[in-house]
Parts: sequence; structure tokens; C-alpha cells
Amino acid sequence: MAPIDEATLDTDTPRTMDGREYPRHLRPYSKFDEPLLKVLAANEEATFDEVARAPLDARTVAALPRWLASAQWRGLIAKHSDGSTRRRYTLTQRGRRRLRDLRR
Amino acid sequence: MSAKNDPFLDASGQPQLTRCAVLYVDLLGVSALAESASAQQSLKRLDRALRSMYRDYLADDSPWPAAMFSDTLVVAAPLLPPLGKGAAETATGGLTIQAAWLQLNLAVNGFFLRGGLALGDFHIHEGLLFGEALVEAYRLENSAAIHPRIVLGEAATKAQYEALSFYGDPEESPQNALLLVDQDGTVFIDYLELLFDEPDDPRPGLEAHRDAVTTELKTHRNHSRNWDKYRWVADYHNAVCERRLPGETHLTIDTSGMDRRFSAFVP
Repeated sequence: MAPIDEATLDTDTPRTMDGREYPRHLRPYSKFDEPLLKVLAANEEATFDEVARAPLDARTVAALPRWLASAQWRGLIAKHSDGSTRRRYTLTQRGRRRLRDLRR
Repeated sequence: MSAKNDPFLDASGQPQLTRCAVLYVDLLGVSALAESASAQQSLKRLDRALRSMYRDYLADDSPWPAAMFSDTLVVAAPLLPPLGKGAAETATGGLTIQAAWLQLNLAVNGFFLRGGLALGDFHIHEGLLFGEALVEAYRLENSAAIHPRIVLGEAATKAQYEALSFYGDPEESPQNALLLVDQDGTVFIDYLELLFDEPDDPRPGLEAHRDAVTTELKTHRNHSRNWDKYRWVADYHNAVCERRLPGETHLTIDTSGMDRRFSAFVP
């Protein structure tokens, strides 16, 4: 694991502790924050399939894999996996704040 | 998918063809594993890679309906309303990344596949699969893929090139981050790139892939046709390592001993 350097989270370029930068091709996916953060807010934790089954439009569902990656880079969600069970995702405090800001 | 929302049934519940992106993959070596002494162990590994890692590719109510028989898996992405500009790009792009995650999960568990991704009319409902997109995807897998790669058909490739117009800089597009062009001009899915999509350290995944490919190269050393397939994967793996983590040679596959060997006719 190479966790995100917290000091870079509110910048344009989040970085991991080993210096890797938020990939530029993931930046457009922040436009899917509101619908997808809402789904995660409604569930304590969710798998990919549980999020994909929510009432979302086709474009949002297709964007889900890349959005999950983008949201992890921006510290909005956390991924949980022990390697033998399916990954689960939870909303972080930063993710809750982002959702509140989007709803204003 | 409920009958009411099923895009493959018309208003009166009759089967209908729907425009879809369709993925057809053949898992290599599965038949041999099924007949081996380690069949039960192989089944558990395969099930885990398909159902318990990134997502469940065989879930009944998935937005990407799928069917699997023996070593063949078919997954579809219907073009859903609102149709029109962007629908083909959305379906094809969405299925491309699903295919990439599938290929990555399988590869790090020691399963390699060859496949085709096509765009066209298709029907999948309760075990019945039918349509021109299935035929094209099968033909791509059978004739064009050759190596353990998933290749895109003409219409699917065109949809991905057209999607580039949505981005200010095509080099920074999601398409450019997931597709490569092989030296034979074939567009294929760059699945190892997904290891760099998330913040996790990509190195453990590359090490697992390196070890899986090395095992296959050793296993098939005396079977030229099979060995060539994994030689391609080794070249692909090393190209990704050199592009993304140059200098970290411990992640690459040692191909120095992989030249062809010839023996005298009369020993």
C-alpha cells in the first residue's frame, strides 16, 4: 500500500507517500461525485456490484470503476479488502464534506 | 434484471436484439486444469478471480449481463437510453474497463485469456445468446487475438477514437490510458495499466503477474505454440514496467534465455 500524503489532498495533485501523482485521465470523473457519493452515504459500506445496482444512469454506471479510483485518490472514499473477499468501499469524512458542499 | 427493465425483451416479453458492446473471452488452459489432479483447487481460484475480487462478473442482476460455459465467458454492455451521441462510446468504454479488470484479476491468479470486444446487435436472456456482435467478438478471439490479449473490433475501436473528441487533450483521455496498439496494428486492452489507476502500490500486482507469466513460460517451454503466447505476455509486461517504473528491473521478466533452441536432425 502507498497511502495518500494527506498534505496533498486539498491540492490539485494528490500524491502517494512514494511520490506517484493523481492520474490526469481520472480528473474528469469528479463530475460523478454527487450521484455516487450519495449512494455510498446511503450504505454503511458497499461493494462495486451494490453501487452499480443503484438507480443511476448508464453513463454514471459505466464511469463507476474510474470514479472509484478517482475518489480514492482524492480521499473521498476508502477501500477495504483482505485479498480473499470482495472489495468494499466506505465514505470518508472528507467524502461526507464533499457531498455536503455539492448539495449546497 | 427484472423483465420490465430487461433491454433484451420487448414490451410484450418477446426476445429482441439490442445494440451492445459484447466481450467474448476464452480462458487458456482451463480444460486441462479441469481434468487435472488439482481441479478442485483450480476451480476455487477461478471462482475467486471471477466473483470475489473486484466484482462478481456472473451476478444475475448486473448492468453487464454475462454467461459462462466451460472456458468461455461472454459479457455485454447494452446501449441504454438516452441513446444518441455518446451512447456507443459509453457502452464500449464501460465494457473495456470491465474487461481490463477481469483480465487483470485472472492474470494475477494465474489465468490468462484471449478475447474480442465488438459492437453490434446482441441478445442475452436466461441462457440464450445470439447476435452479430457475438459472432464478431468470437471471430476476433478466434482469429485476431492470437496472443493473450483482448482485441477491439472495427466499430468498437471507432467508438473509442470518437470518444477522444470529448477531451481537451486526447493523450490524457481514459481511452489512451487503457488501450494500446500492437505492432500488427491491432488495438488491445492494456490491463496492467489498471495497477496504476488506484493509489495502491502497483508493485505487488506486477510481481504477481511476473511470477504467473514466468510459471507459464517454464511449463510450456517445449510446446512452441503455447510458449509463444506467454512470450508475448512477457514482452507486454516488460514494456509496461519500462514505461511506468523504469530502472526497477526486478519487476521485469528475464527473457535473456528465451531465444529459440534448435537441435541437429541426427543427434
